[in-house]
Amino acid sequence: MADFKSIRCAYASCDPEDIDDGVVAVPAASDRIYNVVDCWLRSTGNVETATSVDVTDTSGTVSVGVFTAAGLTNGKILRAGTATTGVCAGLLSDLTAGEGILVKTVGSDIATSTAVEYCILYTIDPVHN
Amino acid sequence: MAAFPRLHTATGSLLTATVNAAVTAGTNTIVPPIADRKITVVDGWLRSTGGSAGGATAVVVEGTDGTDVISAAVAALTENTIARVGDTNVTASAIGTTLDKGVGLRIYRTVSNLTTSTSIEYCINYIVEGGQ
Repeated sequence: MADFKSIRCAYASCDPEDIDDGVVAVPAASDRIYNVVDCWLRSTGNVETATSVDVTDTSGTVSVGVFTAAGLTNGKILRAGTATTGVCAGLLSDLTAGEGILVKTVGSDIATSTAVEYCILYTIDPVHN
Repeated sequence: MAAFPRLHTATGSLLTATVNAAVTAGTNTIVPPIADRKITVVDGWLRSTGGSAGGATAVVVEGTDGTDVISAAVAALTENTIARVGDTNVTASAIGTTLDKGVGLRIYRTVSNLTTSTSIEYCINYIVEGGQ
């Protein structure tokens, strides 16, 4: 049963070139397990040429969500769970212990957009060895 | 209320049978009642997995005293769709309303038993007054 678990927020506005390279929104910590409970992305200017901007663990192997370029139009908040453009099957799933949270372009580098914001709400559980 | 209340979240997944269980069993409680605390739900979402919700009229997040807080009609709970507070067919009856002292939160269904879904995932964000 859930019981008064605190929620954390990672927010930043990033240069699209940094998103292309991958921005660590929440750093990895060996004693922590992160669980993303909600998130949204917003672009200033349309995201073009890229396929999507994905939220994953820092190894890139566990997907939290996929935010497609088609949904990242100028100024629009694209929320987790938006049909087709904001599918986030990984919400509420524990990330791998010791992994952080990454926001990264998939496909070609982002064009046109001048900034990409993310807002990621997550919880932290300790690693139980 | 504290000037800078901390945001809490209740997240998880309840099997359909648990959602349908009699509330007196207490198995569908997601935030336990604590005598000196008052809860205010500020946001949240539900998601049906394993199939689209059927049978019931709605899946509701309610106080353990029966106060309706969020009501998601089954039409909003198609398989794997996040039904957010404020979406079509998701009624925010008591978002921002402080529940009575000592009332927790639970998830239940209205009218008939929930069918087809395997489980209901939930993410309910709330603040707490008192006892901290």
